[in-house]
Amino acid sequence: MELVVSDLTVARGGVPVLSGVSFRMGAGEVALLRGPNGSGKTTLLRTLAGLQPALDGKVSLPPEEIAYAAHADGLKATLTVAENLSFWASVYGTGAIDGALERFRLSELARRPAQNLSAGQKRRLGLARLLVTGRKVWLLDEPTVSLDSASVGIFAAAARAHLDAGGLALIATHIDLGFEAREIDVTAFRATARQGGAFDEAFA
Amino acid sequence: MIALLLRDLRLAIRAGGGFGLALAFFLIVVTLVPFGVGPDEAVLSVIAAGILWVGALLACLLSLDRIFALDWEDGSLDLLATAPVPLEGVVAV
Repeated sequence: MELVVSDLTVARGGVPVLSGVSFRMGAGEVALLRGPNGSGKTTLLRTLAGLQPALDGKVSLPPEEIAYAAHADGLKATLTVAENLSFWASVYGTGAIDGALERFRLSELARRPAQNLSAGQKRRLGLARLLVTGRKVWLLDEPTVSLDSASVGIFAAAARAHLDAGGLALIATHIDLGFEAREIDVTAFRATARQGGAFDEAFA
Repeated sequence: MIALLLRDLRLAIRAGGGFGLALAFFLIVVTLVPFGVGPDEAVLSVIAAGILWVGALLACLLSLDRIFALDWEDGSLDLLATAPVPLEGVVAV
C-alpha cells in the first residue's frame, strides 16, 4: 500500500490553488498537512478523495481505496449513534460497529439520538465512521476540531492503531497530535498567479 | 444501496414534517376540490382521476427541495460520494 502523488495541480472554483504537489507515503506512515487558512489543504484532500477532478498530475491510488473525513460529519440528527454508524458499516459492507464505538468511547451513547450529542461527541462519531469503512488510506480534514485533549488522545490512539495495522493517514491539522509525523507544507506548492489575466487587462 | 433506502425510510418516518406534510396536503387537495367544484356528480366523475394525479404531483413538489439538500448540508453527500455505492444508485434512492 503506497500513496504516490506526482505533480498534482488542484483548483478551487476553477482557479489553480496548488501546483506541482508531489509526495510519497508508504504503509504505516502519517503526514500532517500544514498551511494557513485558505492555502488549499481541503482542496488537496478533496481532490485526492476523488470529489473534484485534478487539473493535472497523478495519484497512484484510486478514490476507492480512500476514506475521507471532512469538516462535516454527515450525521443524521434523528438517528441514534448506533444507527448512524451501522448505516455506514453496511454501506461499506463491514458489519460490526462495536469495535469502533468502543475505541471512540461511544458505547454508552449508542442509543442516544445524534442530535443530543455534544459537538465533541459528534466529532468522535464522525471519526468512528473511519474505522467501519475498513479502508487503508485516511484523508482527514481537521479531525480534532471541537475535541478536548482527552478526545484528541483517543483519536491519536485510534490513528496509531490504524497505522500499525498497515494503514496510512494524511491529516490536515493546526494542532500537535502528539505523534512524530512528517509535515507537508502546502505553501511550498502554491500555484503561481495566472499569466496575462484577461480580467485584469479589461480594467487596465 | 439497501442500507441507503432503509436509512431514508427511517429518516422519513422519524423526522416528522416532510412525509406527513405531503400526505396531509394530498388529502386536503383531494377533499377540497369537490367542495369548490360543487356537488355535480357528472363533473366530479370526469375530473376525479385528474385531481388525484395533480394532487400527488403537488405533494411531491413539497419535498422536492429536500431530496439532496439535507444530505448536502450535513456533509453526508460528500461521504456517500466517496463510499462504495454508485452515485446513480444514490440518485435513484
